[in-house]
Amino acid sequence: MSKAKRLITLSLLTACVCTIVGCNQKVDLDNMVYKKKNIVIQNFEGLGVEWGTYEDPDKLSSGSWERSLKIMNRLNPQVTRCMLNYDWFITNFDDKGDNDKTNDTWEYNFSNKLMNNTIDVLRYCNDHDIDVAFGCWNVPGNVRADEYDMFEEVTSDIRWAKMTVDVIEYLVKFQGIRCIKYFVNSNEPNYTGQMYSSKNYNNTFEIWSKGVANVRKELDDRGFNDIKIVGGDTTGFEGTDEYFTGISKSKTLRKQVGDYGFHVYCPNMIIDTGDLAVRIKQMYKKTKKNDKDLGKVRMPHVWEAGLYDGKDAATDSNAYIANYSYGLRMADYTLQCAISGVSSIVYWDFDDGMHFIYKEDGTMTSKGWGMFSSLGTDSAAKQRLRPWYHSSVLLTNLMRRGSQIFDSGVNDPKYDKNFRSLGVIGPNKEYAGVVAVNRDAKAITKTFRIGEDFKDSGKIYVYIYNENELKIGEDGFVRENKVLEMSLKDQIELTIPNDTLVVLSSKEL
Amino acid sequence: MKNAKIIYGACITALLSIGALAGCKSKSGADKYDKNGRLILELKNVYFNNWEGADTYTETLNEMFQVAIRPTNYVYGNWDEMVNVAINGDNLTDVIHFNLKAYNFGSTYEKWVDGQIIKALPDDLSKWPHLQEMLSHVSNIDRLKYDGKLYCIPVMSDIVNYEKDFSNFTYVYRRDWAKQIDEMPVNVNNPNYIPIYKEGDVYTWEEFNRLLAAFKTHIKDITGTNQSIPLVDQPWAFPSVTNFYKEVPHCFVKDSNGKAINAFTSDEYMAGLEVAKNLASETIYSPDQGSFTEENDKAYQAYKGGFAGVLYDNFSLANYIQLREYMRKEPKLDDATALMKVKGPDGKFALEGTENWFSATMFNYDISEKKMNKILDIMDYLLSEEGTRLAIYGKEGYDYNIVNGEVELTEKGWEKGADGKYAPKDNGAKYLRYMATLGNDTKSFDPYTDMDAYNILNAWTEEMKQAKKDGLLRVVKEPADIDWMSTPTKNDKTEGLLADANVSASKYAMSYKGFDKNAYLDSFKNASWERVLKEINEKLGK
Repeated sequence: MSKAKRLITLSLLTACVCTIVGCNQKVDLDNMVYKKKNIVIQNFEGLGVEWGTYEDPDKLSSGSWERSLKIMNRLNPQVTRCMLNYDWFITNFDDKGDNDKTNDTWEYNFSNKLMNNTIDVLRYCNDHDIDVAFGCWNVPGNVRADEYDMFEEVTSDIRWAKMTVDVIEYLVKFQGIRCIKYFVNSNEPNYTGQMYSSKNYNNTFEIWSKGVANVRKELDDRGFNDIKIVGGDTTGFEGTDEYFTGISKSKTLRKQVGDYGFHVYCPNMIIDTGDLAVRIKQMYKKTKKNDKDLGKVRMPHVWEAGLYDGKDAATDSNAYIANYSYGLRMADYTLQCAISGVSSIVYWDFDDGMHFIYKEDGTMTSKGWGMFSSLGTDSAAKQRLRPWYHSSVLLTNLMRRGSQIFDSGVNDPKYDKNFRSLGVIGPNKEYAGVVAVNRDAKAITKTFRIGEDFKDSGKIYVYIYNENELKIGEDGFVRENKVLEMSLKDQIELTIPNDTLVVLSSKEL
Repeated sequence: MKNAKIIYGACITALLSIGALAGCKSKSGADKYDKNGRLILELKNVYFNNWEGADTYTETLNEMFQVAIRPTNYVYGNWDEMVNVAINGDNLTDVIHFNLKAYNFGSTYEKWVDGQIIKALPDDLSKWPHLQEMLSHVSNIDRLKYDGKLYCIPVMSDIVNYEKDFSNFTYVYRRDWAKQIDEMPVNVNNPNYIPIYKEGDVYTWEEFNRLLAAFKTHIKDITGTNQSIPLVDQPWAFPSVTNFYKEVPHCFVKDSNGKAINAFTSDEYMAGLEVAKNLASETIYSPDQGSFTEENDKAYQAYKGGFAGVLYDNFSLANYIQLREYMRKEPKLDDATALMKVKGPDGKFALEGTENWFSATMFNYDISEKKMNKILDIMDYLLSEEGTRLAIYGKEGYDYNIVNGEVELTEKGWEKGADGKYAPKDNGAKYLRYMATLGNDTKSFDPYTDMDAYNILNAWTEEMKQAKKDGLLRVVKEPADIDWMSTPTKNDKTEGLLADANVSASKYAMSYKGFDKNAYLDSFKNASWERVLKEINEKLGK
């Protein structure tokens, strides 16, 4: 029996001595070995969460803010997306009574609670080495009034670029914010909607591209050459395909954007069948044909990641958000993105307390997509950390910036729609780990081994995420279920219960 | 018809000319393909609200039929306007959905046929057997045909139980309060007291009025509120008590000679209106009833606020479920939302008649035969057993399995939220099926159906069907020959006349200052009424 084979006894994982590993089949579906030949990302950029300006910071007590920061500390993201509205700051707008937009003037009032909150969020990111995609949801103006006359030209309006860089300049030069790495040239430009209910109704790829060119020039002219522009920030595969094709085919636009960024709210079926990875790979391949720098200079990023099923449009909440399955699917989502070459993923979203639905009667209710709610006015159940927070903590702490990501080589759903895994070697080879999901209704047994070198701790921290076995420590945060005195360089055999995420790590997460 | 055609044709010509001068974009309805070579279908429907077409079921249909479905929706409150704006702007989607009714079809459908706005269905529908079968049961379908051609697909309410010809406009009441009143010591100890609650919720006209009077006396005692309104009507339905007197629901009725007269000034309607006026003067109706609007929603506010005893509305399943959601806090929900069956002074139930369809799906005149066939293919598929399963359950193998011939939902496909209910999940097939049917036939097996509400409403429907068979239900219908008659003034004015008449009836019932019976009757003495009745009677040969 090989030295690498050890007996693993776990109360929840059926352990056994594996005497015969492998067989004559061409593709080995039982033994996962993560080797150099299967590296899919050489320099992963990390995981994170949408953490934007709180639309009504008055609703936050000092206690809840402190709690939110503790929760953020444990999540330990390396990338976030922070969005705001310019409407919050623009004052004394004067269009001079003519149609000439070049002579319009306006001022900013940055001394308000919304900017204060934005700065609090960004300072935290500054202090914790978090890369931020910063942006503005839409052009300013009331959705029915369009008082700045911007809805026709949307972000190609010449004033948009100036407003954008004015705000960035204030944050960088006057507030010392250094974490803004990307600018989001409006949220989901391909999601146009209808006049009077959307400011974006007239947007097109051409309009958006013109806006990108204007912003790029303004950023460069004012010395912000290091802030990149998100290439798309589109939603859905079809709209994203249009933008990615447009960007990748344009030599000019390729230089103006910093990545290929998109949002995916994925139907459960697509995740459950492993089809998400198939789709992203197709899109990646198609884009790569036009842009050889995809994956080298311009990386693919998911800037909003969430699940589509369970969405209640009336409340803009997800009915499954507190289910364990949400965490399992989001982990599977992450895994499928990573093995498809997506270099960072930002989950939607951190805290229910950030965003609201505003009703005609003047009341507002929080949107339920978060990992918890910081609102004291929400029920105790909503304030609790939801299961998907804990599964996300495991992934954000394992899949760090600078990591190598390894495919198993057998993740294609043609082999097995219900099982997927990836290997991780952390930055500077400081640690290694494995992420595996069993989406089957029955337990499965597999072996795992990291086939490349890393600084071995001689321990394996085993984390199990399912409804029965997730272990929460006294501090309220996820803990390992077991520590094995062995190495991930060895071949370990695990029986993974049904509907379960397993994370193995040579360091404590 | 001919005049309309000329006028409409002129308008269209003018619009087209302007379009040509402005160097217009390509004609609406033209065949376009997506990047995958799939024919783009632009489908618009009032029920497509909140559906983006990004779900896997839409994708299944896209693949199956090699199309790219692009859904958009009409806003219910602006539905008619949105259709007309699109027509006038030559900006029609491939499929149009319109709130077609007898009283507006002459001013819309007929004109659109003449103006070449909408396209006729193929003469031979045998390629679409499910659709063909459905259409064979559409009530009054011949009224919608021109030169033997049909220019729309009436959206059937129920493709199995298509014989139902009455609406669900009826009363819900606080059965719990009726029982409580009967159990009050003052009543229990009174040997002459006759209980107001009726087992089975069937009330004669006298019992109904006695219940309203008892509610007036006791609601405050029961609820502790300082308000009490025995009876509230949704504003569109006020005064609902006239239903038990009037012979037709809307404007035109025939006298004993078969001549069309104004229904709002008929003896029967006036008798009902006097009853309403009395109820209002006795504050059985709220003094504010005349100011109830759809926007202020005061009827529902009163009922769910716990100070109204009886509520009149259109209790479609969706509306009934909504009401029960509002009342969910009540310890005895069924008793707080009981459907009431009231017999009028003639000893019969009275319900407004209805077609077995609601609204119509129409096709842009400019769409190609290929595109129309694709859309009909999809509709036909969705009416089939397999298509219906896709619309209701989802994909076989993921959302459900067939086990021993029965559908068995899977846990992955049908997960419940924290509230223990199936969470919403977009299913494009279900939305698209609304182009052909409202799907009342699927409610009994749709996992999303609130079965408690469904069973109550279904029992009520069956009871009313039986009453009809027994001659105990009066279905209040406009004479079909008048209802679907097209005359220039009728086409143009009926909607306005109806709206004005309802305002007059409301003002009279609520005893608005200076609005006595003469003022009420005078409000109908105008050229429009005269002209429309004259045109109708000319066509009737009266």
